[in-house]
Amino acid sequence: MNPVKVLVIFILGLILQLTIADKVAIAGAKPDFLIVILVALALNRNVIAAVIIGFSLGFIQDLASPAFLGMNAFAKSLIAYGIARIGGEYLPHNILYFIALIFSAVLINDIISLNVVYSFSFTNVLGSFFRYSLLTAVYSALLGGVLYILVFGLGMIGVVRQRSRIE
Amino acid sequence: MQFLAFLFDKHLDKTVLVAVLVVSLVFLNLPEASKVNKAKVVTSFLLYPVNKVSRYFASVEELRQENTDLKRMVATLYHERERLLQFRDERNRLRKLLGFKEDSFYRFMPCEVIANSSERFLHSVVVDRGKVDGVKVGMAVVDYRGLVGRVIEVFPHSARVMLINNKSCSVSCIDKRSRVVGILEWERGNLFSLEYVGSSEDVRPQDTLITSGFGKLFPKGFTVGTIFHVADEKGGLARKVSAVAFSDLNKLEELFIVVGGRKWEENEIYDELEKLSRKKSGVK
Repeated sequence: MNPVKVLVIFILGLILQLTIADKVAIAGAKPDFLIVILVALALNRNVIAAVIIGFSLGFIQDLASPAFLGMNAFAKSLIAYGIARIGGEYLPHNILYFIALIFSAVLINDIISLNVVYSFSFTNVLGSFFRYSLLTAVYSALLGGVLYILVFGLGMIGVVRQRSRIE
Repeated sequence: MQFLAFLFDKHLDKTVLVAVLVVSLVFLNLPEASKVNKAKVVTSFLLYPVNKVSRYFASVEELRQENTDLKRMVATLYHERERLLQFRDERNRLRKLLGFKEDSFYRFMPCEVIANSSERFLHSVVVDRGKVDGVKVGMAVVDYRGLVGRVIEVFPHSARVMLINNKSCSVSCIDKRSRVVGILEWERGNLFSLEYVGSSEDVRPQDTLITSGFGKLFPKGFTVGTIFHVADEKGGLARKVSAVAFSDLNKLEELFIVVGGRKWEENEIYDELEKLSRKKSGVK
């Protein structure tokens, strides 16, 4: 996938995050479209490309709310590294692992973000984590599952096929 | 060299990760004002389409809300209209019983101001409707707030409107509350004085002035302005009544020429509204 396509996907994700996420929030938990995109993009890529994608996606997200500039870039670079490392080498490519990856990615992203936002205040981090992060992770993971079925079920993107061909 | 080879050949992925993490931490530790300023510069270019689309979606939401409100308002107006139609019929029956002449309400032709006068005390404007549109000398001109003036010259495709803030224009007005009659004359800016009001007449600040229809220069019932000051002249028989016009006569843009009356029975606007709502609901 060329960088322009990746940038277009970033921007689409950001638009979804800025426009729709608030409207479909359940009990204060918003789906994290950007994490879903990050997992989808990092999964079938080499580690360096995945890290650069993670950093860029996080940085663009940071630009939208610059008070913690660098926070999302940091978190998403780490997540992208992890996904490209673990996902690419050890995990089979199916919907359950995709959902599990999104779930974990949201939790890691939130743990890092909450620690930065609350300056490592354990009580605040823990409170927000249990109040919002878990539900957000479940919500995003289910959304990722739906997207996975839509995309691969309809054969719109040949990631799975491409991967199986490579294997 | 060996160290660089170790970093970039053997552990390039980890090196890249560490590099981006360090960059992220540097950004994170920048002073807040500097972060915001830097982000503003980048976002103004990069996130412009995103903001544009976000705003579009936000405006769609607002429009949906506005549409709901308007539907509610239309429903209320229909209900109100039914009530008014009953009053109208009753009023017509009573007027007939009393032998009154049938009265009418007005037909408006929208027009736009295309030129202003350059004279300081003889204020007038030129509008983009003329003889071919059916405009005639003497027709009253209003805007959505109230009376503005009347047509004094008609050209094929335009017409000159003498404004009420013209020294040679006087408007016969009635106090809407107390029905006291007076002649409105321009003083300065948007300020007017209501002349020939007796010292015992009941006029108060905040009262609304409407055209009286006396003299047939202006049709009856158009709002003109509001009284803001009433003073008794020492030993005088009249009161000094100051008023301000509803329309901002120095900033006129869209106006309506009162081209004639129409009968109460002609429900053109309501009929059109009904047609629209039927069309929308699919009822023929």
